[in-house]
Amino acid sequence: MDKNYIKIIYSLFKKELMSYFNSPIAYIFIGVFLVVGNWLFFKWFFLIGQASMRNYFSLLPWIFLFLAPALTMRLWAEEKRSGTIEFLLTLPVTDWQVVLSKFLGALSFLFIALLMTFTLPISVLSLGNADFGPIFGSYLGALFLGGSYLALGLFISSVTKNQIIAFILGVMACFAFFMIGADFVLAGAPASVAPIMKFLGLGSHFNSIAKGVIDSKDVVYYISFIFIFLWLNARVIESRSWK
Amino acid sequence: MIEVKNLSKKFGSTKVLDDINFSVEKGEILGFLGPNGAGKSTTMKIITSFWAGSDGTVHIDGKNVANQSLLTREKIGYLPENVPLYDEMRVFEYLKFIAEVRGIGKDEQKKAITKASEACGLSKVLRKPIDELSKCYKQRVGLAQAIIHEPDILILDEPTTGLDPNQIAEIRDLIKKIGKEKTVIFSTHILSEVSATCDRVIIINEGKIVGEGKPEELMNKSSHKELVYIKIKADKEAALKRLKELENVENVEVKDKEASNIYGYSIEPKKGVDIREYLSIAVTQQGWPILELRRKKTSLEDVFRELTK
Repeated sequence: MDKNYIKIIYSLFKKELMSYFNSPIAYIFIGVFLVVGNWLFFKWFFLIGQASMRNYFSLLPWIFLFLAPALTMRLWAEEKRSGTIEFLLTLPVTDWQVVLSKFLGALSFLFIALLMTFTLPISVLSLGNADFGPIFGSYLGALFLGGSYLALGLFISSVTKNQIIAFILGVMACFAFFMIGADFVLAGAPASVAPIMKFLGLGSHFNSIAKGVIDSKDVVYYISFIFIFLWLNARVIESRSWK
Repeated sequence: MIEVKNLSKKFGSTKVLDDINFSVEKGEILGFLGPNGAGKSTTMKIITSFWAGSDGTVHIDGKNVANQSLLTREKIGYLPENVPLYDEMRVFEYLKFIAEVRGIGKDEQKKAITKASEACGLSKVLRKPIDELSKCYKQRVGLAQAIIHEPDILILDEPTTGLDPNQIAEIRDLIKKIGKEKTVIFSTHILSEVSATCDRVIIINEGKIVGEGKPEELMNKSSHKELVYIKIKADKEAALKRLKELENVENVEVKDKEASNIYGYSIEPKKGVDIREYLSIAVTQQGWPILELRRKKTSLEDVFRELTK
């Protein structure tokens, strides 16, 4: 039973990942991601003259902010609009399996996109003696942050039929969660809620990771964040029956 | 095989289904008939566990579709209305995806895909992307997808809407062929389709079952009058007089005129009496040639309109 459970997730996941590459979205996404990322990186790299990728990783949340909702906007909204959802959810699969496979498909796609930035660490490592550890740590952190954006975007896609609305709401929600932990927002917040906001903000957890420090607290935070939104997503899908 | 008991469905305060009861036996082809918005699709969505009913139960082979849905879904092949498909996929990829999710083992997948695509006449288009296919072929892909795991039950929601008459005939033949070994429920609002394909019909209107039975039974039950049409070469007045005198004849009307002494008459016999034989003898005895004689049977259309008014 368990083996079958995983097998079904795997088949659904394969289809989700494949559907990115079946449409031009994948190529546009990776193209934009690489061009913007590389340009922003090298614009400062030689000026600062430091063999580190800190600059790049502090930019990454902003690039992800637009690209992650672009990946997830279609996932539920399009299924609903075209009606394929009816067919998908009458297969012998659980709602949770479908949600999970959609998330894993998007995450794997983001992972592939991140892998393609390999030229950056190679340049940095060959031009100076940068530490490999922090770079690796930052990549992992980027994946966690990206995963959180994706889980949030996927959830938002499930509450609308319209891709564009899903995208705009997704960007707004990701932005809000990223900013509530930012320093200048915290400075203006009442002292009693500031620590809570700092804990909830996606950005504040990323700062330490961008420096290359992986704290288990941050990892637990990201995993819970992802889990909560996937869970909410499954509830939304289930709610079609409650009407 | 399928047992629907006291099924109701509410959206807010509107009742879409109101206490529906029916069962389908193994191997039966059941036609679901009703005007648009009568609750056909809703019933199908509940049977396939896409939605849950507000009240009542649906059992498939004794298993409840609400809480044992993974087991019941395995037995069902479902073609939703308007055939939603993943357009960007190729036919082969799509069928392979379904086969995988349906838990068909790696070795049997190829065989299952070949079998389903041959049955639905898809062999030539397997490599094409679905969005390049014509509507009829999309419908076939939808059917192939529904039968790939050899389910006992097929649920088809308006499988022939939007097709031209030739395609409708093709899909209908396909359903008949596939339906030989399976239990089929299909919905439609095309009436000729029902009498051509179904063993049994359920007519549903405003969320209630208003008629159920074999197509012929339904027509017999109807209060609609059965008429006999006859065209005779004779003087109009004499013919009218003679026809009215006949036994078991309730009423006679002149229906049309072909030439100066050729008229068509519409005769209403007493209910349940077949007067054709007797009528033809009586008319020939008068020395009047019969040019046409036919019974105008109650059509399913009459029944449908009577029940869903």
